[in-house]
Amino acid sequence: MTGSESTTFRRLSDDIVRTLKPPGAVYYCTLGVLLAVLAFGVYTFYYQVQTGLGVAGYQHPVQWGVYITNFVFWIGITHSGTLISAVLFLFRAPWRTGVARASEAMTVFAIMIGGLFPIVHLGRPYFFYWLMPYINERQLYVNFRSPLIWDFVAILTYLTVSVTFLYIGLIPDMAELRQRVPGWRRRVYKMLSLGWVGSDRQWFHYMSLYGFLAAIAIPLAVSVHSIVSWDFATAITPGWHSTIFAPYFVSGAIFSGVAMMITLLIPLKTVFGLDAYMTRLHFENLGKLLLTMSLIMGYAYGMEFFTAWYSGNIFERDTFLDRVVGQYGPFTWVMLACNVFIPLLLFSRRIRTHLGALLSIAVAALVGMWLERYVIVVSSLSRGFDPAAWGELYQPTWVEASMTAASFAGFFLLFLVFVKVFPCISISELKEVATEHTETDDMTGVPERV
Amino acid sequence: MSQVRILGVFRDGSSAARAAVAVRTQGLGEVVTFSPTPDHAILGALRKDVSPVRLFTLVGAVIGCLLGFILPAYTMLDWPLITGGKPTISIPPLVVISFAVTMLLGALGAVAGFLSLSGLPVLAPPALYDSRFSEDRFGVLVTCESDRIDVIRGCLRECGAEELQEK
Repeated sequence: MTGSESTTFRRLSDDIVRTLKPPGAVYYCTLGVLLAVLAFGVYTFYYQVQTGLGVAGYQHPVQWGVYITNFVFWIGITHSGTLISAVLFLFRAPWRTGVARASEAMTVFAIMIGGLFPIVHLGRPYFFYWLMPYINERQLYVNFRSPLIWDFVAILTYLTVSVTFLYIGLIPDMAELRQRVPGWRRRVYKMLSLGWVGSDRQWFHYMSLYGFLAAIAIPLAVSVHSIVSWDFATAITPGWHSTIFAPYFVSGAIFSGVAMMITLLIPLKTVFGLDAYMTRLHFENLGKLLLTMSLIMGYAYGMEFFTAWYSGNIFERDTFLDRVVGQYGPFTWVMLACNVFIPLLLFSRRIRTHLGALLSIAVAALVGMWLERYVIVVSSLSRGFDPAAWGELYQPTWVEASMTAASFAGFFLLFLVFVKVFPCISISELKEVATEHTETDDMTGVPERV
Repeated sequence: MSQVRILGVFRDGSSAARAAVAVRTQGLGEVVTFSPTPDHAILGALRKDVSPVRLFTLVGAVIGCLLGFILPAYTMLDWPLITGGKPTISIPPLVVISFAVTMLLGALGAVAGFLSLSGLPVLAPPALYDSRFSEDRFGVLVTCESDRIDVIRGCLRECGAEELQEK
C-alpha cells in the first residue's frame, strides 16, 4: 500500500460507491423481465388459491411435489451466505471481504423466497399464521412435536439473525453513504445508519456484536437444514427414514449455496468491474469449496445406497433401486452427473480458475441440487410401503412451473435491487483490511494500485 | 473553570492513536476518537476491557432457552396429546425449539446490548463531529478544562493533526 491511509480510503470508497450509480437500460430491461415472470407467478398463486391445490398436479400418493422441492432447495441456498461469511470472519480470513456482503444478501433473499413455499403448499394459505405459537379460542396451542413447527421456528430465527447480520454490517457503510449520495437515498441511509459516528465506543461494542452474531449464525445455519431434513427423516417413508439425513442435507445445502454464490458473484464482478476486489483467489477458493462439498455429496449418495443394500430392508432397497432404474431414474442420473461427476473437473486448476468454466459447473450444480430435492421428495412418496398405492408418474403442472420460475425471478430481482441500493462489498471492511496489510497481495482483496 | 472541546483531524489511524494515548496518559482531558473503520491501534490503546455486549447475549440466550423449553412443555401439559404411550413432555422436540429460541433471543440480546451501550440510535451527531470521519479521516476529540487548551493543541499538532477545531 502506498500513500496515506486517507488516500487509500478515498480510493476504496470511490470504487465501491461507483457501483451505486444510476443503472442503464440493460439493468431496467432485466428488471422488467424478472418483474413480469414474478407477476405471472403471483397471478398463478391467486389462481391456485381460487381453484384449489388440485391445479398443482398432486395425486395420491405424491402429496408433496415441486413446492416442497423448491422449499428445500431455497433453504439450502441460504446456507453458504451467512455461514461462509461468519466462518471466514471468525477465522479472520482477509479474502472474506470481497464475497461476504453479496453472500449475506443472497442468504436473506433465499430465505425469504424459500419460506414462502410451505405457505404456497398449504391448502388454505391465508391461515399460515396458525403456525405461530399463540393460544387460540379453544385454548389450544400449536403442536410443538410437529416438524412443521420446528421449521417455522428455525426459519424465522435464521431469517432474523441473517437480516441482523447483514444490516449490522451495513451500518458503517450507510454512515458514509449518507454524505455521498443525494436525494431519497440520503434520507434512507441517514435513517438506517442510526446516527453512527464511528467513535471508539461504538466500534468497540460493534466488533463484539459482530463476533457474537457470527458465532450464533454458524450453529444456527447447521441446525436449520438439519431441521428441514427431519421433516423427512422423522417419517417412516422408505428413502427418508435415515440418520444420515441431517449431515447429508447440510452438506448439500452448502454445496448448492456455494454454487449460487459463484453464479451471482461472477456476473457481479464482470458487470461492476470489481476485478480488483474479487480476484482469481476468491473464485479459486470457492471452486475448491465446491469441489470439497461435491466429494462429500458423492460419499453421502454412496452411503445412502450402501445402507439401503446392507440393511437388508427390502422396502429401502426397492426404493433406492427404483430411484436408479425406475420412473425417476433419468432425474437421478442427471443429478449424479451434475453433483458428483461434473464437479470433479474442478480438480484441474486451469478449470477452477477459468471463470466461464467455473460458472458452468456452478449452474450445473444448481440444476443437480434442485433435481436431488425433487428425487428425494417425489420418488420416495411415489413408492411407499403399499404397492397398491403406487400411482401414476407425478408430473409438475404449468402452475408449479410458473411459481418455480417466479421464485428464481423474485430472488434475482431482489439481488439486482440490492446491489444498486447498497454497497455489494463492505467499504469499512475493505478499509480495515487495507490498514492491516501494509503490503498488498491477492489475499487482501485490495487493489495493487492503491 | 469552563469545559471546552478541541478536535484534531488526522490522516491516519496510527497518528490519531498516538494523540489519543498522549492526551489520556497525561490526564489532559476526556478523549473520544472517530474513525471510518475499526482501528485496532486506537481500540487497543483506549479500550482495555471486554465489551458487556456478551452479558446481553448471555441473558438473551438463557431467557430464550428457558422460554423455548417452558412454553412448549406447558402446552403439552395443558392439553395432553398422548400418542403411542409416549411421555407427555417429550424432550427431543423441546430441544429443537429451545435451541432455535436460544439463538434468536441471544442474537436479539446482543443487538439490544450494542444499541444501548453505543448510545444508538441518535438523532444528532456530537459537537464538532466531522462527516469525513465516516470516509477518510480520523478524529480525536478532547473535552477538557479551558486552561489546558494550549497544551492539548500542542500535543495534537505534535502527533500529526492536520487540522484543529475548537468549541
